[in-house]
Amino acid sequence: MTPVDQEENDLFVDPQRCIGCRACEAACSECSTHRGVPMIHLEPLDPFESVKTGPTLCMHCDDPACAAVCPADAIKRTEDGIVQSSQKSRCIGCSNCQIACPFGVPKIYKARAQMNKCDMCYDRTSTGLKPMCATVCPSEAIFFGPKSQIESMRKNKANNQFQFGGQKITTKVYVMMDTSEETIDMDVMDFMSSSGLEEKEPWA
Amino acid sequence: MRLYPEGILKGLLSIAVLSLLIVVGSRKLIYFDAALIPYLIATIFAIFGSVYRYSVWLSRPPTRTLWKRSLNLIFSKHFLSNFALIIKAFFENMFVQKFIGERSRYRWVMHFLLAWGCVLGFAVTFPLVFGWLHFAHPLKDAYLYQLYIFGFPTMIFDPYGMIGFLFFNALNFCSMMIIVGTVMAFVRRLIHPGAITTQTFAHDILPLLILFSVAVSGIFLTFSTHFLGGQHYRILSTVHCWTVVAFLVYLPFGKFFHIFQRSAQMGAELYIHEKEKGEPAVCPKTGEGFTSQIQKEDVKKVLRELGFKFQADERDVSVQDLSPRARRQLLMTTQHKRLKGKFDITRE
Amino acid sequence: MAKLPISEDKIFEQFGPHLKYEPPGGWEKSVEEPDSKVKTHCCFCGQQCGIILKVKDNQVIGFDPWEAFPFNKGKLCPKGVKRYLQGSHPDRLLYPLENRSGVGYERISWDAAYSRVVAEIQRIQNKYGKDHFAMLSGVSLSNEKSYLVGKFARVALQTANLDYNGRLCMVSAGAGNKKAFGIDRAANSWADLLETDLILCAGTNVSECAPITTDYIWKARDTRGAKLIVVDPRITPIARTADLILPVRPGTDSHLFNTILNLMIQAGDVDQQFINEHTVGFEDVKNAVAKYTLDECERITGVPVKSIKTAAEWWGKAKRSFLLHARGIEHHTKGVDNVLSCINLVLATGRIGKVGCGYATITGQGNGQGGREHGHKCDQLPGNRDITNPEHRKYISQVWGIDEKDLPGKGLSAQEIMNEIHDGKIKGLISICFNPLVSLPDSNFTREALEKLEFYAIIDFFMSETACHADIILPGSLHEEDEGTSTSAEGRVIRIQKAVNPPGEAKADGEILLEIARRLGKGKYFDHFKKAEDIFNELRVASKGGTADYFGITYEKIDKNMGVFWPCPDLDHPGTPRLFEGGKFYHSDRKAHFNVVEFKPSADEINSDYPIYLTTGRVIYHYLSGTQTRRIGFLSDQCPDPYMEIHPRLAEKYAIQEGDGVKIISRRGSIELKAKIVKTIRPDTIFVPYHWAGKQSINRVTQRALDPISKIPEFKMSAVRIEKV
Repeated sequence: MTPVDQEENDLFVDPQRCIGCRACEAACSECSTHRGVPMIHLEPLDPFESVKTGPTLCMHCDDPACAAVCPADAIKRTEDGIVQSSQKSRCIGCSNCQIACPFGVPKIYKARAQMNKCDMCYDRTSTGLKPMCATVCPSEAIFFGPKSQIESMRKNKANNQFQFGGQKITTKVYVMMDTSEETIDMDVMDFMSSSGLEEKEPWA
Repeated sequence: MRLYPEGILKGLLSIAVLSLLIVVGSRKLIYFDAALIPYLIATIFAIFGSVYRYSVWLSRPPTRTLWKRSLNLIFSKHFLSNFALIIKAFFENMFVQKFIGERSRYRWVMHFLLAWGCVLGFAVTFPLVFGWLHFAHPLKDAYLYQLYIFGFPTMIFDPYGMIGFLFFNALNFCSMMIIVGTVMAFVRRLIHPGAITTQTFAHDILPLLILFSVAVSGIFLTFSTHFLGGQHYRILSTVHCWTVVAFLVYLPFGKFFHIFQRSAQMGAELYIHEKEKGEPAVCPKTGEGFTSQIQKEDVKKVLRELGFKFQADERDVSVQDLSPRARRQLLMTTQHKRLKGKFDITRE
Repeated sequence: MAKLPISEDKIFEQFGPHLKYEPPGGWEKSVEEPDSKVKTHCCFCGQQCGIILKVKDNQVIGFDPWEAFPFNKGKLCPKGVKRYLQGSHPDRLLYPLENRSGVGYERISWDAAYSRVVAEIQRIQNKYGKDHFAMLSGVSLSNEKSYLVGKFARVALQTANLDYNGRLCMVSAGAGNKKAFGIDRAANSWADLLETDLILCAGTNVSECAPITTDYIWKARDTRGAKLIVVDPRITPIARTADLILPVRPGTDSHLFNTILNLMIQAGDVDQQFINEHTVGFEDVKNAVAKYTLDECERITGVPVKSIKTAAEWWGKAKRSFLLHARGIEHHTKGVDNVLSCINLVLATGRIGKVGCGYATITGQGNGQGGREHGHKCDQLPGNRDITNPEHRKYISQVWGIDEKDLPGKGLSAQEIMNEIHDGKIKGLISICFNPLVSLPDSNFTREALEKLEFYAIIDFFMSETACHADIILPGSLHEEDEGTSTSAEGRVIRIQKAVNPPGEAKADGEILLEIARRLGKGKYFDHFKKAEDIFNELRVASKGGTADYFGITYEKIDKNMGVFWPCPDLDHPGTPRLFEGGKFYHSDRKAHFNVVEFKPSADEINSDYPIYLTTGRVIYHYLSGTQTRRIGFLSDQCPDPYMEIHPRLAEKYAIQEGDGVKIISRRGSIELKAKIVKTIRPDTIFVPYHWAGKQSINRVTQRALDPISKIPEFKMSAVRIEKV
């Protein structure tokens, strides 16, 4: 293999091309580490207004808020930037991580006193395979590959910088946006006041 | 690594208290067995290290907040119910370890054997090492044994009776539990893909090796005594000693530290109780109650203390006020708005 | 007989549908290394995605994506991911069952079951005549099984009345394709979608019914900036980001397409040279569409004038284009007309048979394409041959070693068979791979019909709602329990690999049919079939010289090339991914035929008593009558019950709120379900998915009116009224 082939693979999410099929959830739930429970979320935005849906998987923040607020020190980020699920021996299931995460990712299992979340299929990626969701996604709303590849394939730009109030969050996972030049403003106040989905109906 | 003076102080203090107890408990070292000195040194190290690390851990904002909040909730007007909750949680989580059973039945059996094998082992060996326990023949009968605790005579028993059998084989039972538990753990770490990909030698394999070698060398000591007429006893006891020392040195810094960290689960139980019964934090977007107001504010405070600036305006509204579902929708909505609802940026 | 032996509830209690969530042996076992990994295909739609099944101890314990398979490259929809749960399902039928009135279903031996089936076939045929015993089949069966069913019905049963559930699926498209092109197949492989500039999806909810096709459309939009037009009364997920949505009123499609063609002709956006050289009949069409005006079109179809004009302009001026359609335009009493009006749009531009220029209907069922070519359609013989054509009859009779006089003629279509059963003319029935009680329209009528049968035998792997009516149930096999081939929507012939043996006493479907044939005394026509490949080899010969020519396709060649596109007339032939290259069509004049289409109203009249348009369709989590997918926990959980989609304006009129119970009433029957209020459906139309049985079956409401040519029922438009309950 030439060095060019070894360009690092990243994960890219483009909710706009999601068709809401939940293949990602179905496939994720098959993983032997979390048996029947998907770690990925697939959310309808507003079923009344639109059939729009989108997948949410862990964005793997450079400075993960979930890990920072963990009283049990149970969430670790690997050297290659993967924020792992809680360490089972430490996790006490307190939900602090879920409350802190700006992207709404961690899942808490009360009875197991445990938080689980997407670890980008560490078992697959470590052996050169794509994460399961990115492998099955029929619309490539979830894509895994080199950044140069997706940039040459698509018009939308890969962005991994998000502004939440005064906090800038940089993530390992990219979201396809209209620009890669600026930090994406996640405007909580505006979001609370409107859905931004109302569109003109197409019938006469 | 920066040293934490308060932790050192607490560590030293706990050593001092322990030393005092040893002197008192062993009746000015009369009943202290000098052959156990290596164990004692390692134990002192382990206690210092554990106390130090525990206080460092407690000084972290999220842990400190959880700790303070737990005390605050216990000593509130709901003292009785919250205290009862703690007792119940202690029994279920620490004693029965129910939550591990929920994770996997296999792992519950494995962990239960390991945990109780170790705890019972400590319960026997520490008092022996510290000279707090010793056995002697009661004055009137050289056949029977009497147990002395802190130098005070207590029960008298027949060494070849049931109680004697249990006393003198307690460590053998512990070893057996630990051997079965570690073998189960090794098997799991060999075949379970999830375990294989995330495990590390220092964190997951080494502690199993240490436990296994402590237990096996201990069993061999008994074996040597009863079946080999004491053959190889000295070498075996040296090996056993070193494995235990390794265990004690590893205790404060490796995986075994979770034994102490588990205590935080009591606090988590209080949070969970508060989420179910207390004032809910309601998402302004979806209307869902997603946690308690208390915990949400605690987390926001911790984030501020750690230097995160999630506040969107001067009223301290932040993304953490939204339910997790709404946060997921926020990302989707943001993209949708920026693309003006179109498939890609080039569409008219 | 053919009545339920005991109450429906008791049957369901015993036979399900029950929900299965975990792989056999639980998640713990699924962690273990499988004994084998079998490369095969998904059973759940016409795309036939490649998938790897993990097998341990003769059970399928999980799946792996098959990234090397060129069509889907590892991509799957949730049905594909979870399909493996069927094999070890507790509801599987494991031994032959006999219907004992008042008792239930009792286990009997295979010998007893065969004896009863054969005795009843002979009794009914001797008493009433051969054609009074009918057979119904389905195109989830492999090519081998389809071929075998065709031969079995004609040679062993000697009945003309064999038809299949493709009658509810592909027949309008097939008939339209044959009329226009002289061949019934997608004109292109999906690879041409990647090379196109404009995609028009008419009546096809690609995102839910052919999810992997989304990727092809998205890629064309990405790499070539292709535009997407969607014709649908609902804003489906594929329509949501479309460049243009034509939200047509149900049943008015041909008016829309005629108007668009008229606008293009007026603007001079037709390829006159192509029309002159490669087609016939354009002038008649041109004259016919001249009267389809914009304003009239808006009034009839409900699509704004501006959108119609834009569509005509885009379609007229495009350099390359690809038209896809599916059941949305085909499930009508004018299904064939709708298809032909689409094809006219394609032919007028000459954009077919070239790179990035194409046309296809999206086959819905697993082997909808291959199944109809080789056997179980009432008017067809293998190789897409015509059962009324003396030459074709002679050739097949010779392949089968029978006297041409003994080969039955054209039989009745599926709905017509059910009508004749209801009339008491057809007395006996054997069926496989078909659940007419759920999938045929007007299910109250179907139930009455089934109860009138003197004898009914069914081959099935689960107790489908129809199977509850059978006198004898023969436990058959799943997709992964037999070898074979199937033909995808693209016309790609692929290999279905056997992963496991059927469980319990269940047998491979082919084995069951062969034994019945033997016991009917027709063994000598079938005994050379020792394995699936023997059947395929006879199929190759039978199809030789037909339009669907498989002669050059072998198992080895399929495996080597990951599929071969028919026609493939000889062993050296590489297959034909793209048809009509160089403007060569399959009519005897080698030209494409324009067909005049006049817009006609639907059979069910909208009036003040029944003022609302009802249309039905699929959801992504279920397949056809739901017999399989309603048993898989993950899939059923996502969509456990049918519902009614309704626009808020229409809902307001009836004071219906989200989640309210509503009753939908048609001239046939009624159904009660919950309302789902959405702004993504036309305000004069309601939508209900059709995958459920009994009281949840929307087909209690739909109508039996048929297209005169294709005999497809009009599922996509019924006149109804609604009431809040």
